Amino acid sequence: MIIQLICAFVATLGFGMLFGLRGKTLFIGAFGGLLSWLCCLLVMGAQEDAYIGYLAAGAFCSLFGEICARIFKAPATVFCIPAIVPLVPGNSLYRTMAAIVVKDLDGARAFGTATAQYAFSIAAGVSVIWAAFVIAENIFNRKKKKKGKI
Amino acid sequence: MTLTEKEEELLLGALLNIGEKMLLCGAEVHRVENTLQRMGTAYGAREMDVFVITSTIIVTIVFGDGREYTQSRRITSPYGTDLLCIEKLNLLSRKCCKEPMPPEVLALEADKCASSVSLPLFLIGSMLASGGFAVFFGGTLIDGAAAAVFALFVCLLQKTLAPVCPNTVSFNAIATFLTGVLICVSAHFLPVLNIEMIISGVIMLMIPGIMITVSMRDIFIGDTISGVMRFVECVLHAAAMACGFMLAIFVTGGVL
Repeated sequence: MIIQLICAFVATLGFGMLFGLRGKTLFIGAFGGLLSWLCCLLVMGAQEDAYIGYLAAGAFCSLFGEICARIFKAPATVFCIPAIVPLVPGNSLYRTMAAIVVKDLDGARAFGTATAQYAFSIAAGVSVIWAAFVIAENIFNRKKKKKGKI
Repeated sequence: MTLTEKEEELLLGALLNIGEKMLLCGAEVHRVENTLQRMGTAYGAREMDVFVITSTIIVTIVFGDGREYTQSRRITSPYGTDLLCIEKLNLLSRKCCKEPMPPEVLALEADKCASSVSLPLFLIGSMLASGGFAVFFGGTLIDGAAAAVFALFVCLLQKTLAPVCPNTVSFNAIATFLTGVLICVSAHFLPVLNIEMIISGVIMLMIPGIMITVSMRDIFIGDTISGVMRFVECVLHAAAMACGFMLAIFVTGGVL
């Protein structure tokens, strides 16, 4: 697990460089990658369901992005995208391809479906937190406007 | 801020430039629409109609005196992920909303927001990402080191082959085929290498995983057309990659 977390940090750091991040933002993004994978592992361990793990990790990435955006005054995407990197299902995509090559169509179907479901779970997690923040922001802005009128 | 007719037209052009840059850097559609909306309003627009999909931006601005301008921009360049550029454009829009600058200055400032990753950073980043993922998926340190070396080959292809390919689909298919053949042949001569882990690591450099997530989020939050367009594009890119690697594994079948 520790090796995986270190690798998640290193890989996210690499992607952060490719995404044009520099200095403090780069390391915060890489740390986000490490935390998102930790979150995925913990939830997967507790729930024994990979999709719930990816859903929770996706939600964590979005939450991490929104919180960092408010602290560092930058768009949430800058922190959220690197955090998602370790969750991208590259290995299951490879397995889908490998199954097709050896004509194991059942395996290909299973891995292909899993790949799509991982992506779906991450996106659903990210969207839920995003929607919650937009609702909270709208309520806050309305209250502010009302106060201003009074 | 009161603008002349010429300045109003200039402002619209600058806003379209900013929107285009944001999209090409991988910003979400709603973010682009929101940014352009706020900026236009900050310049005194009475009404701002912004329509953004991944291939087109259409903006209509109505100013207080009733003058109305509409312009559209077709986006044909391939998308990337440039978070630094998004950050710079976000800062510019915040600054502009607080204190609008003359449209010609805005256009110049937007042009300055380009960021390009230097070659050493591009190489180091690719090696770290690819090597890191090879070990992350269960490979040994040797697999990680090998994936980092093959990442250099992918970088070489991205710099030399990508500019001459007609689109990302063809680039992905050719690049993955060449990389796949190289990995399989290397694994034949160096049995210590684990093909699965190395390909999984290298694949991460080209897989549109982030774009798929962004496209699904676009669909979830209501930007259905953009989300579906991006999603279909991602599926095509991933399918091209899969075809390239599959062909490489077929061609080097004896090695496996």
